[in-house]
Amino acid sequence: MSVAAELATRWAGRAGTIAFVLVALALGRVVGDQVPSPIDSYARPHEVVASQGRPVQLRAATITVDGVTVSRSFQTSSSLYESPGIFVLADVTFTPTLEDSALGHVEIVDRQGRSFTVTRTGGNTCPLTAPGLPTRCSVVLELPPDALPGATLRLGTDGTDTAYQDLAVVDLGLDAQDAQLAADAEPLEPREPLLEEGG
Amino acid sequence: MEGNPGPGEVRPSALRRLLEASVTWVLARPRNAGYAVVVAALLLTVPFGGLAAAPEDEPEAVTAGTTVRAAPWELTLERAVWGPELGGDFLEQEGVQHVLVLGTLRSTAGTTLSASELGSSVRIRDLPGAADAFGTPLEDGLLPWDSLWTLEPATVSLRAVAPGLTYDVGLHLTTTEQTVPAEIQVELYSKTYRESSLEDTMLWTDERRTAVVTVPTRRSGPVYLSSWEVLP
Repeated sequence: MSVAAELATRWAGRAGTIAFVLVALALGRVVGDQVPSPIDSYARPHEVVASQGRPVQLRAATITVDGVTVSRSFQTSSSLYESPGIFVLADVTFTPTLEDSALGHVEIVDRQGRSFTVTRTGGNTCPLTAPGLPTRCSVVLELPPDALPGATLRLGTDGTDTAYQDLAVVDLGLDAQDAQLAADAEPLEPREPLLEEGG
Repeated sequence: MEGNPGPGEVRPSALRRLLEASVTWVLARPRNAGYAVVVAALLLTVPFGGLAAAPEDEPEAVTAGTTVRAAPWELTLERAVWGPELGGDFLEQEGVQHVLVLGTLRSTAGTTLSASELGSSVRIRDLPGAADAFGTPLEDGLLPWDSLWTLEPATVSLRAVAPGLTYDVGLHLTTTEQTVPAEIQVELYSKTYRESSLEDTMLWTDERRTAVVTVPTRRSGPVYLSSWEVLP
């Protein structure tokens, strides 16, 4: 066998090995991308669905949404805010059960999947509270009128990253008519945090 | 034929020898084939400028009042007012003039965005002595994180921008100079929403200069009704 033919055979063998490895890696990547990640499934927030007025037991707190009101404006002790959309105020009773907690995650999700969080100073009056002490407070978020129908409020204790959290999910019960009511409504007044008698 | 080859015969022969030597070298080891592929790829880039820096896209020059789409924002800048005191929280501070760039802001993202997200989307140019609310010079014209205000019954700061809403806004900064030019340039940057290359989070990044807005300025005060009223 000539030197050139020997070189060609050796080259072809090694090229085959390289090609096999590359194809195996590519195939592994394609298959791996199709398989659902186990992290996604167990990091997904655990949603506890409830209606207004019913307490929701979460891992670290008990949360009750006492009521929901809407208006174009809301008033704090220092500022009057007007929204180009609609302010939604939810009165909340919040009782940490394990450790000092605050209402770290406050979000409204509409039917389109858009996510709304607090935009204004004073939009979350729920303070850091010791376990066992019920506190009454409010959260205020603003959304465009078309986001009202079917919007849900999602509350949790562990901050904006919802991975591994359990969340109270409450239907706000709003519809297109509430957008009309909001236009003529008085400015919303979030309730100042008030510790209730422990129970 | 004997003797030296003529001038016309030298090049083809040398080329052929070079070609043969190259083929032999490439076939000698698989790794040489890899080198050959890399060199070929580099040679292919030569007609497109090779390793030279790619020229930056020329941003669109727009006039005040034009709506600019600079993801994740739709921003319409109309004018700027300035003065030693602009009402609301913009009280007189020694050695600085307040500047409010007025317009409208809308988010096109699907989630509420922090006001600080606007910082990397806006740069102020041609404003000597440009500084943040406390008089600290701006870094390359970058808008400070706490500069977003809405123009409501009074000016109030906007911590975050909800999707689908158009806000009347003022972008607040200051200058350590005594006067402000008749026009300032505001550069707007588009960003892309993608996964961070360092961690498993999504973020708006990869700023690309999209438009330069020329904004006229007017002095406001010393008497004012509100931040956006210009009185003599």
